[in-house]
Amino acid sequence: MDTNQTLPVMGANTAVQDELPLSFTGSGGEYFKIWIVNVVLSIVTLGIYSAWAKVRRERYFLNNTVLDLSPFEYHADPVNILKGRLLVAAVLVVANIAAEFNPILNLLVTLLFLALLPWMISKAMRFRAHNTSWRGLRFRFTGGVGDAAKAWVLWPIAAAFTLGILTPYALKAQRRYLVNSLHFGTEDFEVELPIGPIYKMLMGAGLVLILVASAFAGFGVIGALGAGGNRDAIIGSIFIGVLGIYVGAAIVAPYISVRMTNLVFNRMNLANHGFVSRMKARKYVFIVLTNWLLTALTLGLYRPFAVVRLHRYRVENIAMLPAGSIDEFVAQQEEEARVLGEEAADLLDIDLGF
Amino acid sequence: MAGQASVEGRLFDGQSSRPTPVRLTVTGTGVDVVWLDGSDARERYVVNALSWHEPLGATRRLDLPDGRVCEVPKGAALSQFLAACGHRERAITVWQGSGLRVLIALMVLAVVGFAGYRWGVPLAAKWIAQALPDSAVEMIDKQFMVSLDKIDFLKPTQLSDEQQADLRAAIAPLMAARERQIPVTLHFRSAPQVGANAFALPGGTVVVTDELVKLAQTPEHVAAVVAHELGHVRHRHGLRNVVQASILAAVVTVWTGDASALATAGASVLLNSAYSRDFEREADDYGADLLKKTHQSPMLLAEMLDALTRQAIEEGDLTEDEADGHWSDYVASHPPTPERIERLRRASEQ
Repeated sequence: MDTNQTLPVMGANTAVQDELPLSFTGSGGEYFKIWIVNVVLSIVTLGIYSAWAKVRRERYFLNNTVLDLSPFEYHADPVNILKGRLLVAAVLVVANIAAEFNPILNLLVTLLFLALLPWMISKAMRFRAHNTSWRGLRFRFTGGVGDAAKAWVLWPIAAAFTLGILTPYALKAQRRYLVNSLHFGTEDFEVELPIGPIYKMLMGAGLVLILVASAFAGFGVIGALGAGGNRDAIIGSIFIGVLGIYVGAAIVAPYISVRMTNLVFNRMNLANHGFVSRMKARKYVFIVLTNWLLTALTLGLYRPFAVVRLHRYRVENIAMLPAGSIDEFVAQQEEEARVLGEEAADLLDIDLGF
Repeated sequence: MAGQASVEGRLFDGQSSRPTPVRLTVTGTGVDVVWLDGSDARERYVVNALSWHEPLGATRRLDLPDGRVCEVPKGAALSQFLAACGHRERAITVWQGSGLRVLIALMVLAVVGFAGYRWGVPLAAKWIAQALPDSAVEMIDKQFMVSLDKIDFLKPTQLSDEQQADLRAAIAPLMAARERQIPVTLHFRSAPQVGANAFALPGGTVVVTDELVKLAQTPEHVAAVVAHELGHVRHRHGLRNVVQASILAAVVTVWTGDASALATAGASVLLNSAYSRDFEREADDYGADLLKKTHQSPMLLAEMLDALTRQAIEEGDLTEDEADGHWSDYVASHPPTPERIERLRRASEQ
């Protein structure tokens, strides 16, 4: 027997690790340089370079996101992104100008946008997944327009008609769509979300929003009474109350994002491999708020550092729980059907949430 | 093999996620790729057949023929290997690798940002506003007036028919003296919340409040203010303002990456106010010009500005300091009144 023939398999087969953490090897300073060059080139080319800039940004973040020694790769063709951006920008400009002149046109534009939204989400996810790879194997996304319409149009409408009571079902449908249509090689991602924790989370978020808004409104009312209740003071107190809603939303939005991400990852699997996400809601909200503050104080120059800081926190709190060797994924053999205009939706840049 | 540059990496065949260790060595005429999995398989390529991806992560990616990829860790060994290959990085990699060049980019950005803000945005807005057909702009005006009336921001005028006729008679020569005869609709409204004021909508609607008429000594003084508003109409300031605000909001949003709607709105309002001061000057000049054409003094407008300021100080809306315009220069929507009055005085003496 020639023992050499069996060596490749044995050589690659190491003991199964308990956890395979994702790691991030980039830094804010490094990304700052890429970002500033991207911005300058985008400006001097009147925005045309922004498509190339996007590819380089995605590559920076994916190439520095490492799982089991291997980085993720991004393959999108900037020309396709540019075509999509031009198309969507043209539609947006025309729609906005039309809406400016006529309330009925405005309504039509809104309805048209609602009708196109599921299509765009489906195409954007397809484009992004298809252009992402790990160890030479591509991701795929097979979610259709119909399911996207259910998750982003029908469920939100149902939630609105029930005064928000069905909102968790909308969130659940959206996350299910994003995860269950995603594939890596021949394997499928799956997630089954329970509705209870989403209700609990949203009620917590609603409570925080109400508390913050009423605290602000309270200060406003005290201020108005202190000023003798004249007209300006009352207007001022209303303004402070509205400000409170904004501040509350600024806290609640990242809170919902982080809790949903944890929930999804902790119940998600790829074939028989599991995942875990250990982000702390308070820490995450703290990072988001201080990022805003620093970005404002530096007139936007902190932005690249902020993006890296948040991305690092997300990535480094996520790990894969391998059930066996992760060297066994194989490529899907059938030829990928190129979907016409799939790149058009790329402008929307829908964030997967992880 | 000593003295030859070589690196080790992991090869993926595009068919499975299983890594295969390989060693790449620069030989005289090309690169040797040797499989380290025990098979001792070997492939040889000329240097140009290997395509290296932009070095953005901790490992660098190399594309081999047949859709195979190789991941090579960055470091001294790779640098030596690439040097031995005679590999040259792309210009973009060189730019963002050098601190000095990044600094140059930053300065370019500052210059472009300032120039774009000072000249680019106003020019773009002017161009867009002038390109819109008159009929479209009139439509905006009609809607705007309807909504202003509806929310009781404006109330029906208390002026008698006789007063109104006097005012219209004083304004008529100014209207006739205009070079470009944009149709103008004049409205009188009572507006206790706003006080003494006049404003122009983009499409040729001019609104004068009863409070302004009361403040004015003569109908000619009111007409002088209307002359200023006609300047806003002529230059489509209202529309340009909206367009500029939209452009600024878009730029701030892109620059800060969403941030919150509130911060974006705040920043763009702040940035936009400088433009509106330019508009006031432009409208003042136009008004002064019209007054002179009808053989009146631009000082009529100056006197009205002075009266408005004094009234604001009396009512406690404005302090003497603010009226002088020292601190408020950067945030005020109008230029300081003394500056405007001086400008009108000079116009009247010419």
